[in-house]
Formats: sequence, structure tokens, C-alpha cells
Amino acid sequence: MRHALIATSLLVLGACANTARLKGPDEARGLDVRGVGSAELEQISAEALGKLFAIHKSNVNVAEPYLVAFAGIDSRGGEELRDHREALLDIIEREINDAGPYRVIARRFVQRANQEVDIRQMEDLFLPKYRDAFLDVLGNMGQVPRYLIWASFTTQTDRVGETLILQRELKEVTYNLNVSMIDVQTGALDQKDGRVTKEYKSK
Amino acid sequence: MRLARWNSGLLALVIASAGCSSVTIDQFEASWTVGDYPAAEAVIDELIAKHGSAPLEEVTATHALGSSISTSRKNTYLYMLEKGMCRLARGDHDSALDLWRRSRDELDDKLAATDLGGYFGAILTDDRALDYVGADYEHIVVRTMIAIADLLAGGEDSFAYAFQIGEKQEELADSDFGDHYDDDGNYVGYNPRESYRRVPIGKYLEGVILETERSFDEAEKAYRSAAEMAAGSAIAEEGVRRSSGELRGGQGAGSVHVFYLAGSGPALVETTSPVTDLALSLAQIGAILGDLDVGVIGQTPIPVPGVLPRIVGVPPLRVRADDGQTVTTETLLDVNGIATEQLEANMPWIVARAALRRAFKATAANKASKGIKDDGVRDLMKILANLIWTATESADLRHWTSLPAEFQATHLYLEEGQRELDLGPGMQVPVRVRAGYSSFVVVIQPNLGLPGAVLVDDFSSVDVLQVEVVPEAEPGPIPTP
Repeated sequence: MRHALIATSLLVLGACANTARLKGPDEARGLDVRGVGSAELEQISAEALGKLFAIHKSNVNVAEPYLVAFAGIDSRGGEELRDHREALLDIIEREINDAGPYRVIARRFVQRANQEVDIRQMEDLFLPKYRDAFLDVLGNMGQVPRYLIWASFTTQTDRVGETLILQRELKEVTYNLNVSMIDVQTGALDQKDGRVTKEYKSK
Repeated sequence: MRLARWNSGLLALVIASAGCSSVTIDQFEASWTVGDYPAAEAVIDELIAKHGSAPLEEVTATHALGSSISTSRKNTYLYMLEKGMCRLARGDHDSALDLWRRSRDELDDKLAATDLGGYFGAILTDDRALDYVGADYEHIVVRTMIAIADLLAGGEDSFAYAFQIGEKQEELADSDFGDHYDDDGNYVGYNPRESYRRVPIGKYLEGVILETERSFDEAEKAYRSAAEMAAGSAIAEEGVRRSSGELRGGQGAGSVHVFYLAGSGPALVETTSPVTDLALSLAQIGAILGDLDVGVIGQTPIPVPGVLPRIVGVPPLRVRADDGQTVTTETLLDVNGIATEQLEANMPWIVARAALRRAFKATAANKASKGIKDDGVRDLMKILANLIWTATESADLRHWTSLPAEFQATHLYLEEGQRELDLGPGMQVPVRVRAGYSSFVVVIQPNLGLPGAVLVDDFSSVDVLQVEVVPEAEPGPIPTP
């Protein structure tokens, strides 16, 4: 009887303990229940950059890959990126490098240029005087990009009602990543979006 | 033998008490209000270690952001709000931001789990033993503090945080907490949040951020909303004029926004409230919702929290620039006022729950004493039980103690370059102003008789600015409770 009690106690304690495991490559990603998470950020990055490069790379034919300066991300939504910002920068850089004839300039060069020119928001790069100054600083460091890329993250929230059972509040948040690319030589601008809608049920 | 066991038990209790942390939130408050931020932080670290069940060394080393700290345990997340204020005052906006984000998420979870059934379901527990849900205004203010800290850090997510202030405000306004209908469909409830005023600080911050991003049309809309919420707000009207182009700083000028966290915010003290007719009818609803057999709900006064402003009428901060300009700050959020209004609005439910709890306990005592045959002993038991329960009734006085009495703000245009701002005795600061851009200066001054901490955003700070003020003189006058 006593052994049974001890075994039951251990079982209960075991059920309460913190656990962790590595997920398999084919398993679906878990979703952050509170706000934006890595799964949707990867999805919208892949979509936006996929669209951006789909047409563009078919028109280029180069022996050497183009250098790309990825300047950073502006956040304009109702949810903060905070912990996800660095991860999102990594994701976008990886997408650019994997897209074909493009190579991203190391982030430390770009950060230095941002600091020296005092770029406080990426949209400053739309203005020629800031863009030229930014490119000059990069040039002085031996980094001459052909393309400038930056991104803007926004959210849109719709409260769509309640669940029938338990009357839990339902809301839908659309996460949007807009990617802008400027051809430094021609000044041509291209923009594409990646978008996903996530449904939340509150307690 | 029994005596020996009793004595050894008592000894163990004494030893255990001696080993436990003996610091209190009052000690934190005392250090905070005289601007002794390191001492205040040392106290709050001990409280976080105790409530978060973590080693003090880890709390101190990680600025209370370590992984072994149980944020949701006891009052940890409330103390993290206080810790964030210490970090900010000591120039560490980054830790402050993360501490407040964690507290915000915990408070959101607790608030989401609160409905009328749950409110009365915990009737047997003392309010102080319940999870701290946060006063509604604290849910607004934590987002305000996060937005301000983020502006100091460069403002990457500041729009999101400012936006969340308004979002939370609307969520609270739309809440159906307290609404109740009887079986015939008649409204018999009372929704305290219907009387809440909307505060303009969220829209004002949105305006500031959008103006900084040169989204002038959007900035104008945000400033207009702020002006509508605070009729007669000169600073919001000025924002409208700036973003509409009516008022511009000139080619070589940049904006400087000064936020003044003025004075010490409200304290909560225990007072009593009569059981009003409204509270009585709400208690009846609670009895039904909680399926409680409570007998007669008495009319004797109930211990409840009351707001005690530590300072009344905070004077504006005079900001002098080195070009001779002088501007003064204006109130955007009166924390004393909003705390008082919201507590008064919620008082009928607070009284209802306390009255119901008392009635439930008295009824339980009556039932328990029925088994006692001796009339004298039975009556004595009833009297004793009532005495004990009445004497142990206490109001829940938990709140965010280090909040300012008021959030004030002002704006000025300055020519590009390194400029000097004089914000009062002991509060001079250099600011790097850039044409077409915004700089942010935050002044935290819990004691108006002493220099406050002055913080400048990372882009505009000239040196590593960690103005840490440890009082050498006697503190200035603070109204005593």
C-alpha cells in the first residue's frame, strides 16, 4: 500500500515537473499564444522575399553575386518585435543569401553605417541624402552594395467575436512584412509583402 | 513532554523567522521617495528573491530577469514593476523594459482570468492572498513606462507600445465586468469601468512617435485624439499645430521631447466603508453566483483600501535651453486622480465581496457551534469566532508604489548640435540634437525637494549618462499620511 502511494506521488510529481524535448524536422511548429512568434515570422519573410526575388533574379545573369546591404526593420504594428528582432534579421539575411545571386554584407558593417549616418528609421533610406551618406560610409569600408533592402513590420487586429463554447474571445491578427529593395545604380524601387493571419482565443 | 514539543516548535519558528528576509515594501518606498535608488533596489531584490523563489545573487546579477525566478509566483511580478523603476532611474532602460514586459504579460493573464464568478468564488480567501490582478490604471501605466523606456533605447518598438496603451484602454472600457441580469432579464449589475475617463497619454505618445517618423498626417490625428481626451491640453494642441505644418522648427532644428515623472504617486491606506445599498445588492448577486449560504449580510463598516496622494498639485518642470528658450511641462496623466476615481468606481464590488465573506464566515460559525450542547460555551465560541474573523479582516493595499504622481511633458525646437538643458537644481544635461529628428529626455523626480534622475535617449546622449542621485542632505518635505 505504502509503495503504491509513493509510486503515485512520484507519478504526480513527474507530471508536474518542467520538461523539454527537441522537435523533429517534420513536426509542425508550435505557435506563440500571446503574440507574434518565429513560425509566422519565417513564413512572412519567406513569402515577401520569395516574391521580391522571383522575377528579379530571372532577369540577372552575373558571374559574381550582387552585394546586398540589408539595413534593418521598422516596426509599425501593435505588437513589439523585441526578442524576435534579431531572429528576424537572421531569417531575412538567410533568405537573401539563399535566393541566388545575392550576398548580404556582414551586419557589423551595416550597423556601423547606420550609426555613423544616424539612421533612426529605415524609411530614411528613401531620402537620397541619407541613402547617399549611408552608401558612402559603406564604400569607405570597402563594401559597395548593388542593392539596399529594408523591411517594415505591421500588424492589424480584428476582434471577430466569441467561441460558442465557453464564450472565449476570438481575435485575428494579420502580420505583414513589407520588404523594399532599391537598385543603387538605377534608383529603381521594388516592394513586396508577406502576410499571414493568426487566430487567437483568449482565456 | 507536550511542553517540550511546544517549546522546540516555537524555537524552530523563531529560527526560521530569523533566517527569512525581513525587508518590507515600506522600506523600498522609503528609499525610493528620497531618491536613494540603490537602497530601494536592494530591498526590492530581496522581495523578488523571496516571492520568486530564487537565490538573491541571481536576482541581483540578472536584474531580476534570470530564468529561475518564478515571475508568476506570489507578488513577484508586482515587485518587478518596482524593480523596473529602479533600473530606469539608474540609467538601465533595457532591463526596465524587459522587467515591465514580463509584468505586463503576467498582469494581462491575471486580468483575463477575472470574471464575476471568479471574483466571488474566492470568497473564503483574504483579498491579500489572491493573485494581484493590478489596478486598471496600472495596466495603462505599465504600457506607458514601456513606451518611454523604448524611446530611450532608440524607439524600435515604441509605436507598438504606445498603441497598446490605447488598445488596453479600449479593452477595459468594453469590459462587461460587473454586468448582470436577473431571471427576468432586468439589469441588476454594476459595471465600474463604464465611468472611467479615457486618458490622453497613449495618443500623445503615438503622436510623438509618428511625428518623429515624419508621418505627419497620422501624427496629427493622434494628437487630435489626445486633445479631445484632454480638453484644453495645450501640449496636445501644439502637437496638432506642429504636425499640420502650422508650427515648424526651421531647417536646422530638431525636436526635443521632455517627459517628467513628477513626484511620488498615490499610496493605499486602510480605511472603512459602510455597506451601501448598492454593495448590499451586489453581494446578493455574489451569493447566488458563488452558490453560498450566507444568511444575513451585516451592515457594519468594512475595511477597504483608500487612496492617499503623497503630493497634491505637482508644479510643472521649467526647462531652460542654452539658447534662452524656457518652456514648462504640462500634465498628461494624473496618477493620483485616476487611482482615486477608479478605486471609488470599484468600491461597491470591493465592499460587496468583503461583506459577503464576513457573512459567509459568520454563518459557518453558527452552523459549527450548533453541535455544542452547552449554551454558554456555544455563545462564547460564536463571539470568539466573530472577533477573530473581524479582527483579521484587512484591506488589500498592494499597488505599484514607485509610480509618479503625474506624467508631464513638454516640447521644444532646438538648433542642431550639442545643446545644454537646465531642468532645475542639479539637473543639467547635454543633448545631441539633430535637424529633423527627435530627442527624448526623461526626468524621474520622486522627491521634488531633491534633484531627480535625468535620462537622454541613446541617439541623443553625449556621454554615458547615468545620473545617480544619492541624497546627502535631508529629504525635502513630503506630505505625511
